[in-house]
This record gives sequence, structure tokens and C-alpha cells, in this order.
Amino acid sequence: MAEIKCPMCGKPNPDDLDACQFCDARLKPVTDELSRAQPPIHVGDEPTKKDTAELEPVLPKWLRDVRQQSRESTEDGSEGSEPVRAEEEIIAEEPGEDLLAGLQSQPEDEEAVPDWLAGLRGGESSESDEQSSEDFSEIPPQEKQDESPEIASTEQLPGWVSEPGESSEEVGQDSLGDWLAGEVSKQSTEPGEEPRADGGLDFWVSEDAEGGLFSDIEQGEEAIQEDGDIPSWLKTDEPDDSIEQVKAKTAPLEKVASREDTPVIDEEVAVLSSAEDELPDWLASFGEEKVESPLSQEPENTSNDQDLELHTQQEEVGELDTGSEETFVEEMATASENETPDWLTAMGNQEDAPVLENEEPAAFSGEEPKVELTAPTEQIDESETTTSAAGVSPFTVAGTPIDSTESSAVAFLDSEDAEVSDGDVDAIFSMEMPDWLSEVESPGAAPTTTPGPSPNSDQSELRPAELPSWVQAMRPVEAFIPGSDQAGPGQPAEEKGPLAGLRGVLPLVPGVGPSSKPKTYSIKLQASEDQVTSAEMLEQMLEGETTPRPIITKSVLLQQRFLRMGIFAILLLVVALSLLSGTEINAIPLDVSAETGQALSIVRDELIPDTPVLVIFDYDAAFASELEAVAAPLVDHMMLLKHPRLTLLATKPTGAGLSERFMQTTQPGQPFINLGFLPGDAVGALAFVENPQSAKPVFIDGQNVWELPELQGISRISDYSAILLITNEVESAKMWIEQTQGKLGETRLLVISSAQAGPLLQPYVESGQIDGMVTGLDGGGPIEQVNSGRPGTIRHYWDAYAFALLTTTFVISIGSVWSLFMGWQARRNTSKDR
Amino acid sequence: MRVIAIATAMIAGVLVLLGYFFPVGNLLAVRKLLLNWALILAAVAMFVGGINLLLVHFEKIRTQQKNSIYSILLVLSLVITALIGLIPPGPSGPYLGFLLDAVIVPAETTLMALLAVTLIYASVRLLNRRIDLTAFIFLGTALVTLLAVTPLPFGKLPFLSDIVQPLLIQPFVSGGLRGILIGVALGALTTGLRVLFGADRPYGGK
Repeated sequence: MAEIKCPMCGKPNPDDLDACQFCDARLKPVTDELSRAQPPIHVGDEPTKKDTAELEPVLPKWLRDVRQQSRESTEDGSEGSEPVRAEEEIIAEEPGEDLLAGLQSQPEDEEAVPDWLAGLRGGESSESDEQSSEDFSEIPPQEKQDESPEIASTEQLPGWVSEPGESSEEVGQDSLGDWLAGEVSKQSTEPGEEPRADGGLDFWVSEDAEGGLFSDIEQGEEAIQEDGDIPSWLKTDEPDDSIEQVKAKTAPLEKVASREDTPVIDEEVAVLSSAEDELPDWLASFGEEKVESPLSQEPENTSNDQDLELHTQQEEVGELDTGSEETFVEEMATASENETPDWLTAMGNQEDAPVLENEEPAAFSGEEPKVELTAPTEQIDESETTTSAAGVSPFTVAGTPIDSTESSAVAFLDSEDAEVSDGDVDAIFSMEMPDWLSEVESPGAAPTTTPGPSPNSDQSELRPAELPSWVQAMRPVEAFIPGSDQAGPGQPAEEKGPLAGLRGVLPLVPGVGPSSKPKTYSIKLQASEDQVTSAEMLEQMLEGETTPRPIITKSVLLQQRFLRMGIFAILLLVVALSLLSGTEINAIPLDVSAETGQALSIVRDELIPDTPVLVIFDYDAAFASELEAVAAPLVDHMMLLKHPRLTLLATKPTGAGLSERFMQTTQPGQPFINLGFLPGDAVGALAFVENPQSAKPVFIDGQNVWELPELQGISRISDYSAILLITNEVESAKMWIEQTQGKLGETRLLVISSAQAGPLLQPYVESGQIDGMVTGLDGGGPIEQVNSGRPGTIRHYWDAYAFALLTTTFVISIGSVWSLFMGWQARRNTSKDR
Repeated sequence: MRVIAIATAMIAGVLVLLGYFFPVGNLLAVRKLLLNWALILAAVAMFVGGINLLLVHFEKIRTQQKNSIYSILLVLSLVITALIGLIPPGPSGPYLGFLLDAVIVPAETTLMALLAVTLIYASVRLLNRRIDLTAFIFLGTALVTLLAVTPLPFGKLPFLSDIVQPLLIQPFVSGGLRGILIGVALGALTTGLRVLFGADRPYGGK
């Protein structure tokens, strides 16, 4: 089995497969069936008649519809138009079911027709409307059938072929049809006549008539068409609604145009008349020789600027514009004889020319429209078939009056605001530009009429007015807003080409964008010296914060603990040895201080015996040992000498118990009245000072204490002969001093304080607010020594107290020196580390 | 409510103050009445404080918080002491004296002794932590005072006890203490006036 190598993947496949079994790529071309059925036609081979009817089913639907419509229209036209029927007969002679079946038959000398025109001829326009049928009805069918190939070729000529002769009266009545002559003379001689109500001038003609281009065509159309609304050649195979819509749209425009047509046409005629001498020979002989090929429509020289524009734009638009009769009319009118193509020259020299001369009147009067209709209709059909896929109706571009007008205006006018749709651009590009049209701007064609710089003289210079619409559409109009000089004054303005007038569109230097380069920013931090210094300081601070600090090790903690334990051990050892040994190494001094002496004097001299004495216990239990030792000698001395009636009062919660403890330890067996705890601090003191009975009315058991015999006669604080305040706090002593100030009268206030509170109460002693004070062991020791030899606790504590103070002084001194050295060493080590 | 508290405090303060300056008639009687009320309220405040202390530590015991064992000891001690104090003969009875002699006085005296050890240790470490003039002055003053008051077998140091100590006590100690006392008195006066005029409200309210 033969194998086919897949063109895509290269793998072999059986030859009976259409698609690759590996990659699904097509193995056989689409035209393979045709190529198999018939061998390809080589150069020089005579074409053979092909029966393509069998391929009709494979035709695209649109093509089938066109063919069907063509058949139907042909049938319809055959009823009222014998010429069409004659054409049908010609068509009927051709093999049926052909691909081009139903279309207008081609003459034998079609090779004389350029390819572009042949391509446009998709088929004969079967749109034989009634008007055209009536016009053609004047032509005998036999003549149509008997027309030579040359005549048939003339049928392919568009109407514009004959229009140049029609547009010029000077061409002569011989070369013009009667109908055209009549119309021209009518319009030229009756400028003030009202335009036809039925819109004798198509609006597209009217618009173009402003430029004086197609007025002659319109006149010819008027002669051809009875109603004259739509040129017959513009009518499609079927009179669809679009035509009717076009008519409706063009109605007002026609009215307007009809009012302006006449003078414009006159001007055009006048121009053509004045240019009679400029008519080329071939055109001049056009009236004499009816046979002309469409190739004769290749004008390269134009007579005015509009013609040049037409040529330029036709070059761009291509075949699309070739469907516009107006262009070719003008081209015909301005084409030079030298530029007449060879085929046209040859046609003019053909032997059948005289035959055509005989047909000349008929051609211009009756047949000419028919011939004129052929090409545009075919063109329309071809345009439809070629551009419908692009979504843009070619009819709107080239054929339809409205759309053609609009599109032509867009395409030909130098209007920047012309709107060119994408479909239009695609349609333009989709068309192949004919050779003759590409040569329109050949040297010597444009300079004759173009006022500006001709392309021939300087091909690089392009006038903006000559820009085709699709080029204008490519202009960066959106990016450049007139009036807003975005590019800046420094940018040069374009002087040539499509970008002429724009500024800053192209870069100054080729390949380098003007300002599209992104702005570069330095990544280096811009900081002043102060900022850098501050940043360094911040960095150092953060570094110091993040630097781990040395943790106090256990050795350090243990060292400190050992130090504390050592101090405690030393003190404990000293105090314990002193107390346990019972030594009396240190003698108690006999000298007493002044305040102590005052207190002792009061007790000895001023205190009245058997008088009430208030003893206030205002100290904490922690100071009980000290204060009991200090107060005991004075209280004992007073008890021995004066036998006072003691009233005990406490301003601290533990005071009541401490007072009991004091009396039991120092004055066991001595009577006393314990009032207990007096709350309220200063308020309580004030209340008790002002009215002792109301401040402390009863005992805890509810007994009225003030009814006791020891307390008889006491109603206020001044009733006590002396107040003995035992305190370890300055605040407490101050409170009593302040609250009793001015209320004591003759009552003496004696203070027994701890060693730490004594110096703080010294000012009150000096001020006289305290009558006498005994402070600490130093103050109580001398009293104890003079207390008739009664044993006291001071002597027992004295050595321990003395050794403890001495040891403390020694430890602090030695320890301070050692600490100073250790601290200095630590700082030195730290400095070394840093 | 806050206005009532402020008004009560201000009126009471003004009346007591007027009673001090004008101890006559009804002003004196009103001042005494207010003082007695204050004394009663102070006693009740102590009772309320005791109740609050019990509740707080009961809560710690119920929730078994950390060191709740000490709360148990505190509650037991408070209840026992209260019962001993309420049982006749009351505070003057032997049981309360025993608790005082066996627990309160030794405990507080021990703490005072520890304070002495701590002060000695701080003095030793002073120059290790900071070396400046203030530290040297502080340490030198302490040492001189200690040496001046320290009884020695031969008595006190003659120079220090006779010259340095009185010199330190009279101008420095007495003068400094007088200034401190005057400052405290002025502060107390200002505080009293602020409370009297409602600027400070230690009794509550902002």
C-alpha cells in the first residue's frame, strides 16, 4: 500500500486517508478532487469547456443565492425585455450548470479585457429592471445576438466610457446620443428650470456635482432611466429593500442636489468644452468609434485637481473605486492619447470599428446605458461576493449612491474627521489594484492638473489632501490633539508624508523614542550629614539595646548572700557573745543630756505625788525592747518618788497589749488603768485631749472607766499632772504635741523616744513644746544609773549595744573600702572590655 | 452622691475649723460632736478593714491561689487573737499577753534586727554601686555618728562625742529637721485647705 508522508509531522500514512492519523493534518489538498478529475491547465493549452454544474452544491451559499437570483431576475427580465431575452439565449447556448452559468457571457476577445476588469465581471447583471429593459427594448434582439465580439466587448464597457463624449457638447451631436444631447442642452439652456420632482439627479451625482465630476453621467442616467432615482446598473439582481431604503434616504438629497446640479453641470460642460483641444485623440475619436475597451479608461493625465485626487485615491482604493463611474468618466475626459493602453489602441484599429460606428447612436442613446450598466453591475456582484465576508458591503463602498457617496467622500475628500470603518479598510486592502490603476500616477500624468507639488517631481512629498482615507485613518490623530502641543515646542513638526503637520510623533533620533524612556531614579539615599549622624546614633542605641547584657551569675548572687550572711553572723556573734557573757566592759555614762535632765527634773521636782499621770504607748512591738528599756528607768523613778495614778492609753492596735506588757515587766504589782486603744489618730487624740470621758467612755466589758476612783476628777487632758508619751515615731509624737498644744495647761509633756526618733523631736524640745525627753539607751542609761541602784535592762544591753555599734562601724568601714576597690576593679574591667 | 460627699466634707471641715478659732457656744458643741463621729467611724473603719482582710484571704484559700497557706495562717491567727481579745478579761488577760510576748514582739523585733543587717550591707555596697560625693558624705556621716555614740570601755571618743556630734546635731540635724517639719506643716495645711475647699477628695469622687 502506498503511503503518504504527512507534511506536518512527517509520519507515513495510508494514501486513502484524507487526514493524518497522527496529527490530523490534511494530507490531501482541498482541490485534490478537481486535480484528479482533470489535469491542470498548462500555459499555452487551449481551455476546454468545463462542466462545473456538478460542483454547484459545493458552492458557497451566497454564491448559489446570487446565481439563483440571477436566474430569477433573468427570467423576470425576459418577460418585458427582449434584449435580456436575447442575452438569455446567449447564455442558454453556453453549457448549463456551469459555475458561471447565468452570468453574462464573455466575448471571445476577452483576453483584451484587463484582468482586473475581468475579475470584476462576475457575471452579467441580470438585474434588468423595467427601465433598463425598456431602454434596451429599442435595440433589436437580433442585433444584440449578431453583435460581433467587439460589440460584445463594448457591452462590457461601462457607461462612463461614452460619457466623456456625452459631457462635452463640443464632442458633437454626432458623437452624442440624442437623448444625451437633449439632456445636456436642456440643462445647459435652462438653468433656472425646476429640478425634477422625481429626483432626476441622484444624490451621489449631486454631491459629486459639486466638484463637477459626474454631472454628465447623471444626465445620461436621466436619459436612460424613466424615474431616474437609481441608476440601473446599481440595481442588484433583486430589487431588495436596500435599494428602496437608499431611495428613501436619497430623496431629500436629490432635491437639494437637483437645485444645484444645473449650474454645476453647466460649469462642467463648459470646462469640458474649453478642454476640447486637450482631449486626446483616442477620446476625440471616441465619438466616432464606438468600440472602446474599458482599458481606455486608464487615464493618467487629469485635467483638474479632482481628477488627480481621483487617480491617487483610486490607486489606493483599487478596484473598489473602479466601480465608480464618475472616476472613469473624468479619466476618460482627461486621458491623453499617449497613455491609451495598447489594447485600446488596438481596439480602435480593429476592423470591426466601422461596425461599431454604425451602432454608435444606438450605443449612446439606447445601448450605451445597457453597456454602461454591465460593468458596474458585475462589479457590484463581484464586490458583494468578495467583500461580504468581511462584513462590509461593497455596494456601500462603490455602488450604492448613499454609501458610495459617503464612502467616496471619506475616501476622496481630505477630511481628517472622515470616518473610515475597519470594514472599509479591509475592503480596500482586500481588493487587488489593477495594473493600469497602479500606473495612474505615472510621470507626466498628475503635473498637468495638480497645483501642488506633483508626485512626479518629488515623490516623497505627499499632499495631505491626497491622502486616502485609510492612510488618514492611520494617522495618530488621537495621540495628537490640535492645540495641545504635547510634544513640546522643541519637537520638530513633520513636513512630509502622512504625519505632516504633526509634531513630536517621530523620535528625533531614529530608533530612539523621544520620551518613552522611563525616568531613572537613583537608589542612593540622599541624606545630609546631620541625618547620617543621627542615623549612626540611632544605630548605636539600637546596638546597645540589642547587645545582651551579662546576666548576674550565681557566683555574684552567692557572693552577695555570703556578704549578708557574714554581716549578720558577725553582728549576731558580737551581740550574742556580749549578752551571753554578761560582760560589763563598757560603762554607762553618767552625763545626761539637757532634755533628759529636764525630764528627770520634772519627775523629781514638779510632779505632784498621787496625781494622775497619763502614759501613752504609741510604739510598735518591734521597738518594745528598746523603748521599754528606755522608759522603764523614768517610770520606775517616778513610781518610786511620786506614786502617780497611771492611766494607760494606746494609739496603736498593739499598744494596749504592749502597755500591759510594760507594766507587768517593769512595774509589776503597781495599779494602773488601761484605757486601751484609742482609734482615729489625730482625731482620736484631739477628742481625748478635749474630753477624755467622751473619747474613751467605757471598757470593753461596758464598765464606765471614768467612774473608777483612779480616774475621779479627770474630765480633760489638763487634769493629768503629766503626760508621758512613749513613741518611736516622729509623726506620732508630733500629733500629740499638736493636738495637746494649748490644752495642757500645767500638765507636763514628757517624751520617751527611740534613738532614731530622738533627733527628729529635738526641735520640739528646744521650742518648749516638749518639756522633757529621754532618747534611746543613751538617754535612759544615766536615769537607770541614778535610779537608786534599781536593776534595769539598759545595763544588760549596754555591752551588746556598744559592741554592736562598734562592729557595725567596723564592718561598714572595711566593707566600704572593699566595695570601693571592687567597684573600681569592675569599672576597669568594663573599660578594658569596651 | 458625689456632691453630697463633697458638701459633707466641706461643711464638717469648716465647722471644725470654726470651732477651733471660735470655741464658743454651738460651734464648740458641733465640733465636738463631729469629732466623736469621726472617732466612731475610725473604729468602725478598722473593723471593716478586719472583715475585708478576712474576706480577701478567704477568697485566696477558696481558690487555692499561690501561697494560700499563709492566708490560712493569717485567718487562723486573726480569729484566734480576736477571740482571745473578746474573751474576758479581754486585752489585759494573760492569753493576749502571751501572744504578744511570744509572737508579736519577737517577730517585729527580729524584723528590726534584719533591718539593721540590711542597712549595714547597703552601707558596705554603697561605694561599690556608686562613687560620688553624696555617697561619701552619707557614708562618712554615718560612720562619724556611729563612732560618736558608740560607748567604749573608756567612754565615748572625746573629739567625736564632744565636738563632732553636737556639731552635727545642732546645725545640721536640728536645722534640717526644722525645715523638714515646717515643710511638712505647710504641706499639711495646704492639703487641709484643698480638702476643705473640695479640690482634693480623698473620700472619693474625682
